[in-house]
Amino acid sequence: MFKQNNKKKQSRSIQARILIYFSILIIATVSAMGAIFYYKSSRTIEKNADEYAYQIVDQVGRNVEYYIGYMEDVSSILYYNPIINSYLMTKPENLWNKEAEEQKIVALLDSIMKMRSDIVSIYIFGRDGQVITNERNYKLKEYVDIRELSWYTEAIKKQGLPVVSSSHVQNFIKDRHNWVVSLSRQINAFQTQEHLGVLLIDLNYKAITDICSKINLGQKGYVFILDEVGNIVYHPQQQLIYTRLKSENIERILNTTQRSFIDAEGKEKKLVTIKTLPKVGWKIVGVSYLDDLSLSKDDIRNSYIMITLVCLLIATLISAKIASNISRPIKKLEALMRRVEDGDFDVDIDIRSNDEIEHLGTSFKVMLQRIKELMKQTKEDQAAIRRSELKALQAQINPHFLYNALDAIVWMAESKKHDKVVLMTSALAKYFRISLSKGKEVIQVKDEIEHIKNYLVIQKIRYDKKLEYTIDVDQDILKYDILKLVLQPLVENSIYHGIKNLPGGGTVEIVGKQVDDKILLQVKDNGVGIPEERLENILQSESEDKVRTGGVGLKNVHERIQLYYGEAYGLSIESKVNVGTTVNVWLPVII
Amino acid sequence: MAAGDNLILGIGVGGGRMNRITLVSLLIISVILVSIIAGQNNIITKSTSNDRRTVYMIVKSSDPNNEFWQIVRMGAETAAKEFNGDLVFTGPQSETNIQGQIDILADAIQKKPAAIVLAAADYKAVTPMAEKAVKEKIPLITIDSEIDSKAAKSFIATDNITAAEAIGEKLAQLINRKGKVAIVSHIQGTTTAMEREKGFMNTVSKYKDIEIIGKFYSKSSPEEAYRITKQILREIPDIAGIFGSNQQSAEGVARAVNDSGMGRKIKIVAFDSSEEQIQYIEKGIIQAVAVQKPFNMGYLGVKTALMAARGEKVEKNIDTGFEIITKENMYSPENQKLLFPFVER
Repeated sequence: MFKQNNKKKQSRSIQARILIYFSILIIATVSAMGAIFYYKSSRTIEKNADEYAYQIVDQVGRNVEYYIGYMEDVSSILYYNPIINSYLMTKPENLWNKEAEEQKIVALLDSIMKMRSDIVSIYIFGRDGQVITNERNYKLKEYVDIRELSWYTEAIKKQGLPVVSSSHVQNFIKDRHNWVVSLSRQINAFQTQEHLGVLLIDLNYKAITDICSKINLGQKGYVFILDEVGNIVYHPQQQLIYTRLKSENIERILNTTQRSFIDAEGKEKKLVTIKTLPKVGWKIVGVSYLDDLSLSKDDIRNSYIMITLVCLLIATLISAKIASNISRPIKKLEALMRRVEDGDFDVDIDIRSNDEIEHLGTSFKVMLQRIKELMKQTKEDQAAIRRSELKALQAQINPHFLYNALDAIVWMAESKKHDKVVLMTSALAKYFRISLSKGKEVIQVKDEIEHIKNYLVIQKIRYDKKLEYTIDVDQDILKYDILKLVLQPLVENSIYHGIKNLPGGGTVEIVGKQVDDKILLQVKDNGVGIPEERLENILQSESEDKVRTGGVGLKNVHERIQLYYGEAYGLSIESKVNVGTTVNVWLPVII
Repeated sequence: MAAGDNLILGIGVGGGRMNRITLVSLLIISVILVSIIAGQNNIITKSTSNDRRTVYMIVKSSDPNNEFWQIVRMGAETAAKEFNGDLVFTGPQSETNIQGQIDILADAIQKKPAAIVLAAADYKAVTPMAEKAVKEKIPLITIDSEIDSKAAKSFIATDNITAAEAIGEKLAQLINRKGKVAIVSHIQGTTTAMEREKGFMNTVSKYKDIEIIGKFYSKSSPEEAYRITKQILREIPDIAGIFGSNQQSAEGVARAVNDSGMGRKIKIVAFDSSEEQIQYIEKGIIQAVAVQKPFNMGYLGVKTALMAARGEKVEKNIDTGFEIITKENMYSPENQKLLFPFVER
């Protein structure tokens, strides 16, 4: 269960995780950089486009101003011409040399017309109905009153200042409908400033359309001109605008104070650049299509996308490589660990990556070594336990003991001591039953005491008056489990080495009680005792006095207990020569 | 047992991990591929939109003196520039050279242009060749005059009926919705003549006090129209209004009314706006004309053709609109551009 949970937790492999994090990082970085570069460079392009458009518009503005300025100059020549002034001052009927005067003026107009081909016509309308013009072949439309035409009324309003009209069709001449830009000016008398008439100079509109129509602002861009109030002076798609197939943001153009703005109202984004001509109040407007103008901007974007993708590809490959580099030793270690998990402790852990993983591998290797040692140790301990047990068992079925016991029984039977035979035989039977204990290693204290009692009964019969014994065990500890056959070797030891050789015999005392969290069993005798120099060696000595102990000595018991319960338990011996020996058996309390 | 479990689990998890890595890398690769394709797609669409497409515009007359078609040409050129197309403007010299137009159309089909814009010189005669163009998978757009087929993707023209309805309404108002009116139409049986007559009648016949005294045909000759009008003026002195259905008819009607000195009494409405008609409008002989928008026709023709060539959906019928011109509004910025489209002269 625990293991499965663990697996679920690490279900995303390190390699995959590294790859994902790297990819996110790379995508974020590269796209952010791409976006910044793209933004920056597109800003530059837009700025350049803006600058370029402004230069174009400015140039157009200069050219248009030049034409208008020229017309103003022409108007001034006529305005300040004394012949014209005096001609208009005099009422036609009072003018005796009317024809000659008119000829002079027409000659002046002709010379001006010859200088400039872009002037269509010049008219001078006197307040008394005089008309002087270079246009000899054309007649005025009799049904048109020129005093109602806007260029005339505007000129009157301005009282002598030149007025420039928007582009329009000149409509007072018979059979002619010229597209012109008109400059009109009221002519005033030099001295009196009284109104004498109106001067009209028509500039061929083509002069202006030619300036504008040749301009290219990108592939689709164009230039157009608005007059002061927003009427279109020139627009390449004038018809489309009038029929609303197209529209310009004229209101915004008239109201803005900036020299350019981006118009994003239509389908396409447009850069609108404006130059206002101070003299006439016209606005030269350049319209550049952003996607058209910055076609290179798209290219830049595309190349940024391509660069980003290539970077991304390379970075992904590198990160995959890094990820696999990092995760390969981990995977290897993992595989090795899994083999260990499956029980193969002999794997050769050889991970060289010069990093934490290698340290981890080395530590694991050391740990594995320790585990192997411990396992070996455990195996050895187990073997020792078996050995000592075997020895203990061997002690129980010591043939000498059995032989002696049977010998005693025979002897008692011969002496017809039947009750003693019964006692002895039954004790022997019980003794062996508990010795074997169905092969159990651990028995209750009660049984161990019963066992030693039977043993002592048997020995008592053998040694009769030479052996006395007492058993004094707390009732409380009887229920505890202990390692079996612990006491018998000790008692045997007391009898054979302590009491047997005492002339007057001796007493073996068995005491059992609980001391703190331990069980203490004591085997005391008042025998010959053990000399001090030997006492020290009894439990440690390598060379066991097999002959003397009948094969199973104190050391075996001590070792058995310690193997079984640990170092905290075992035997301790107190002895005084000619006073007696006490062997303490310390055991854990186990129910 | 435990080891066995582990083994199976190990394989299972190992397999899953492999799949996941493969999945992630596949995902990344596919994202990259998609972006590349998207990017290239962008480049492709960009380049196709830059690909200049040739559009043939075949009109009834390519004569530079034919104002109407030259204005159509101006509109077409404007659209070609705006929508990245190359325009070939062609047509027979004379409007009556129907075979000439068919030959030009056949020639154009061989050049395999991106689209053809056709103003059919004849309703029926041009149709088979026009259908051939469609068979050759060349998108066909008709302007001004239809063909006897549904082959064209779009038909772009003035809605003559609506325009005639408007000019009829104008006349009705001018004569205070009562009196006798005459129709001097151009050629009996032609589509434009029939449509204009129909539209005009639609409105005028609504007024019970207006009596239509007859339909006359000038055969598109000002002299014939003049003659007809003189006769009408003689026979029906209390005539209140006359409708001239095209330029030539209108010119003849106006001339006759002007000559007879009955200009103040008789109201004239008409179609088209020749120089002569404009003079009569200024003089107050003709009160109103319905003016078509040939510039729009050319512009929309090429625009629609380029859209069709790009595979975009186009409208089946596009009305280019008309304008009612009177003496009062003729020099408004919008209308003077419509009446005097040429700057050069």
